[in-house]
Amino acid sequence: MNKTELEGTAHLLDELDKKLMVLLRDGRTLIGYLRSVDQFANLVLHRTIERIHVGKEYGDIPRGVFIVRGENVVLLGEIDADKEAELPLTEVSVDEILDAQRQEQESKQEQQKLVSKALKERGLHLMPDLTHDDMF
Amino acid sequence: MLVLSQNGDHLLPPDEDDCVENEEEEYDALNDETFGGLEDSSVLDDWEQQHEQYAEIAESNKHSEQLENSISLLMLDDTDNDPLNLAKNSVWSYTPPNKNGDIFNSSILSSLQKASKSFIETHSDSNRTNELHKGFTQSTPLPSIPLSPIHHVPKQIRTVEELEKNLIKSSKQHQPPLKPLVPPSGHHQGPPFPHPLFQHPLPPSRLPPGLPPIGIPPPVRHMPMPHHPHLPPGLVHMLPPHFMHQGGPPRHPGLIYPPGNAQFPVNHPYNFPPPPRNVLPQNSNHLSRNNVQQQQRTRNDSYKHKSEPNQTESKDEYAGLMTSREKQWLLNIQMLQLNTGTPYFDDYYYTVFKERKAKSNKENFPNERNHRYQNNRQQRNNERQDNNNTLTPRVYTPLQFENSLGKLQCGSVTAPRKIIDMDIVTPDKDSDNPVVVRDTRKTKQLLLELEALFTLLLKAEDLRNPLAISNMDKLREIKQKQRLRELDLAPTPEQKQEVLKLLKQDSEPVVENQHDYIVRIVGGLLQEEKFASFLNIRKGKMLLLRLLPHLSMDSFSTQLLEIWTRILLSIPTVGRRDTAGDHILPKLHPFFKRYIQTSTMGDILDIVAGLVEVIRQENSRSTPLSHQGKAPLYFVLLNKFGVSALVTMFIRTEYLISSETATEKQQHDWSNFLVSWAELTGVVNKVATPIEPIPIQIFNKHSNRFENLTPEKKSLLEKHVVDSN
Repeated sequence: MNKTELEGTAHLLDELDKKLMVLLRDGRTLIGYLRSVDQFANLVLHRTIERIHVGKEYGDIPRGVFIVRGENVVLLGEIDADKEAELPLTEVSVDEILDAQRQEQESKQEQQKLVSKALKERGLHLMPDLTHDDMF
Repeated sequence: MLVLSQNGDHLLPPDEDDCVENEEEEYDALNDETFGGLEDSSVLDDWEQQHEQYAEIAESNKHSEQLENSISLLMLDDTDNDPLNLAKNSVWSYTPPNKNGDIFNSSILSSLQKASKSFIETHSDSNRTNELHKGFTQSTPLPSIPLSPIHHVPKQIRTVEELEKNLIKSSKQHQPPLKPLVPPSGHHQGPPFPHPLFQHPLPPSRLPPGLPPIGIPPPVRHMPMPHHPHLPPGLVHMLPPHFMHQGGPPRHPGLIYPPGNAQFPVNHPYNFPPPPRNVLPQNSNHLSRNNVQQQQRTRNDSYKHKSEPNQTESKDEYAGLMTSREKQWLLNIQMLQLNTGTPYFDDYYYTVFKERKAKSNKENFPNERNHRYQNNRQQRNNERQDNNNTLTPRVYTPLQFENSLGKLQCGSVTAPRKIIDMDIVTPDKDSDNPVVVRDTRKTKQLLLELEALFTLLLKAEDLRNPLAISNMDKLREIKQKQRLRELDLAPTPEQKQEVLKLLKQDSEPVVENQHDYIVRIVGGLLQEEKFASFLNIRKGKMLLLRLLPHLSMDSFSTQLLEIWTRILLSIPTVGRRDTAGDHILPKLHPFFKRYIQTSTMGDILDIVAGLVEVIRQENSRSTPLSHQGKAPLYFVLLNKFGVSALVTMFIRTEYLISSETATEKQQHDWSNFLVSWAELTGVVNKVATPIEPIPIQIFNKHSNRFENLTPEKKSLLEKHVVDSN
């Protein structure tokens, strides 16, 4: 794989069988072993968990095997086993983290409502519903 | 073998149109062509008999006896360390592979099949079971092997139970000191033979890549284990040959596997998943990177068998799901994309980067000792690259159907399908301040113009760039070939004519003049109102910086004068921003110097003429309050580039006067300018430091020429611009 023709290129084949963290376009974070890829960068993730982060806590939901369509991947990165052992975050149960996530979203929505209201009073209009992804 | 009914189903329906030739049209679908030559058609039905026949053929092989012996030994041997008699020179001992790495030798395949068959033979009582299991012949294609046992499920279960009962009986008879065997419990014991086949009918297409040792998921692997804890190790684990190393690394106590000749076919129906790798995590990473699939690698690596938690075991087992063939296929796709023939256009940044690196290497190591070797290596590399690049990509045209409305959609890596329609969503336009819009629109327009000028400049520069030229030629070649292909495909003569025309157009090498391009760019740049705005944008300054080397004095003298005058005049609006952020104006200094050194007194006076004119109030709305009533010279003094420009002109004027090329009038005008300069120096709060100060002698000599330059003014000037050393 170190041919001169491939110099300056990168491919997912180097990441096979590694534990990766994949960030999807909808904001989900998956952690799993990359088993297979194809030319569209579709991924086959094995022993995947979906990790939800809220503040300093996180919760893991085991998901099994995932096949991710390539266009939905924002980025992916290798997980350092040592660093994972020493996470500064605390793990909580799935229910707890889902609760926390819901609360966070609610508070965000309230914030945005206030902001847009204030802006409207000043004659400007903000569309809070657009995520970064929707802009393109 | 299929059991077929003997009614007329096997006859094809006759062609209705040709009633006359009925008999000829009718033919037996179950003819010899389909099923091979058989003397007696009744034999087709008697699979048992057929199996027997095959078995007889198989028995004539030499190996069988030896295998039988070893197998029987295996069955009854009780030693923990070497239950399978690895040490002995038996068939099961590890043998190095063929040199050509052909793991699927039919001979080995056949010997394996014989082995398993003969093993079954030795431990089965009834003839029936014998016949059944003799069916695993050496010559039938593998996919058919699973069929027969699957087909005969009911009988098989019974017979296997029988078989195992026989096993127990026989083992008890032959060797009393044997471990007691737990009597098999009904259908659970069915497994070793039919189950793997039921659950995992191995797809024939998977044959060569040899997946099963790694690919069959744990359920199958685990399944036999719990059910046969007390069976003689040989029974369960003997049948499927496993991929293990000879050389007895310490094995996991609970799992005993026979060593497999690594070349045993993986698609053998009795293939269980391989033993857990039991390697350390680091090893597993290393292994997976080197592609577990490859036989050579598994042979060369040394496994460490420690008892590790199941998690790591199964993780290692899943490693290497992608075969090397699949990986190579992906890499080939990637290389196809790289293989364009015109990397300068398709992969500009990397190509230029490599070129620059090569150039810098050459400069750094001009006469290396391995010059000769390096040359060779470079030549080889270059040749390889050239060879690769001459592979023009084949044009793939998908299937075309007749009488269909439309063509097949064909996506490729270079032209993928459009999957999602994406539109840019902008918030409400009404709410935006109209002023803001106009400004941004103006800036956008300016940027677009600059972009256009830049592309012209890049094109102009490419005319002299060897890399660009070669790529251009290559592109033309490719286009020509494409036109020729189109010509072949063109259905009508008119279309052919069109294509020919295009071909002719493409073939003519375009002769372009760099000078013309430059003229166009300068014209675009020197627009009255826009010039200052251009300079206000970083990109505009960069364009200027890149353009100046191309403006030689002989062809562009008038334009250069215009440019420099305008630049200095724009300093009031542009200078502050530049000093705060970009710092590009000082980079123009060397070019200014170069220009001035060939300029005349008249030119210099032209440049400085505008600088002393005070900006009037009615000039423009956009003149900020702070600018009103001040001459541009005021701001020039505040700017580093401005002061440096003045210094350069100062020195040049001195030279011109001393060489007596300046007229009286000119000198007079210049002295007036000097006075204004001195006066303003006193007013300006913070005069910038020039890049190159004036040597004291030149300063003194020059300033003493003019009477109106009083001592105070002189000292003012001196303070900032003269070399203090």
